[in-house]
Amino acid sequence: MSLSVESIKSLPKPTLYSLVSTVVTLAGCIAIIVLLILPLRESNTTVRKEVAELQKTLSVMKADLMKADEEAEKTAELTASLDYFVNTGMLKPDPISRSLRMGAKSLMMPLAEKVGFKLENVKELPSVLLRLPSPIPNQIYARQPVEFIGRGSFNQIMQFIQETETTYPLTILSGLVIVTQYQSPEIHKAVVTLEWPIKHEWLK
Amino acid sequence: MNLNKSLHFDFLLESERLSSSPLRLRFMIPVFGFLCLSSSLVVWQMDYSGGKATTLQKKDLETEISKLKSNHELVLKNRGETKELLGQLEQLKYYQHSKNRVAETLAYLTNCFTSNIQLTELALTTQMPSLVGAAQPKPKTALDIAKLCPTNMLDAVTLRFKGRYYQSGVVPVELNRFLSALKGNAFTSLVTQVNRQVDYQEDTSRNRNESKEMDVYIFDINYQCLPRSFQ
Repeated sequence: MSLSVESIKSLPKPTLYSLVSTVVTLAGCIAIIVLLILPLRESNTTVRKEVAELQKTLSVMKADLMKADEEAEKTAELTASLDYFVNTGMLKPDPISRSLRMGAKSLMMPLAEKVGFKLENVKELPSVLLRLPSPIPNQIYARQPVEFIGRGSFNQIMQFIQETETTYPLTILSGLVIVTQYQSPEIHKAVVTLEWPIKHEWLK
Repeated sequence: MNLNKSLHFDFLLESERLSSSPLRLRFMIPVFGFLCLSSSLVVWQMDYSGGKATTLQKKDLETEISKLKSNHELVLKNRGETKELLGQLEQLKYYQHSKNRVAETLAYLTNCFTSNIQLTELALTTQMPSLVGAAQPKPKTALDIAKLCPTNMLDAVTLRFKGRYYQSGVVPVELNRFLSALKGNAFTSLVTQVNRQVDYQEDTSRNRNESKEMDVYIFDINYQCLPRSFQ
């Protein structure tokens, strides 16, 4: 059976109308699917994905906000702990000379005088950075050793160190040399190295 | 010619001829076409409505998120601050943990001496890691700083005693008494007995001049102390 224009034209009119209307409706149907439904579905899928992402973001945000008070409390606690460290244990530069050596001297002089340890010289040694945790914080701390050279009896030297350890909980004895003096057997020369934590920005 | 044969007349036009089936194909196929068209329009309409609803939902979510954004940013900022504070405190705790209180123990040394033994030098030394001095350029970035930071968790500490003692016999009684005192409970928080080095010898320069009732000996003792632990 061959299909030609002539054979179609020769079809009875009702059949021809039927055939033409069928072809037109099917073409319309295909056009609707291809031009409207498929692009719409594609864009709907994208929007649905975006909505899912937004829902996820929103739920995370809500969960974060629920914990906000708790976290703020924790931050306040940590700030208080850090302030305690900074205010009680950290070596600060002398406000006038901006020198750590002078800062250490002004801290230790009253203690030395109290126990009778005669302080002769104070020397700032090179600082050592502290071990870093991970992730690296923006504020880095270092250990600042300061050498105190003086004279006193063994008991006075020990009292000086004991007083320091008790008064300043973050001050650590990192070195001590006591040498006897032949001229004065009861009075020894002592080099006491004490260290404090300092903020890295204070390093010269 | 056979007159018994019946004649059959067909008066129907071709267009008037119908199928014997109750459903006429000529009618049903266009109906099917219209059904397809209308159902695809219905599907499109449903998708369109669904899409519109989803878009509305998206807008609502965006509005809600933008309302919460400023508060959430504060929470995130606070969280960053907490992380920073934790990092700083951790560093300071490493330092705090490294403190070994030694003054009380060292003060107890006076109980270990008699008139026959004297210290001439006492040295407590902490072996510090590389120093950040003027010779090194000041680090600028966190990475530069991290390179300079020590990675070892322990700083070795040593204690050295130098002195002299008086002895009448061959056995170094005074020195042994001192060494056994340093083994006592009072010193366990300071010194360890690992790698202990004890050197002693006769002080010939003094013995030549002084009376021979007691010989003078000099000693040099090195102890390894409990290390400072930065953990």
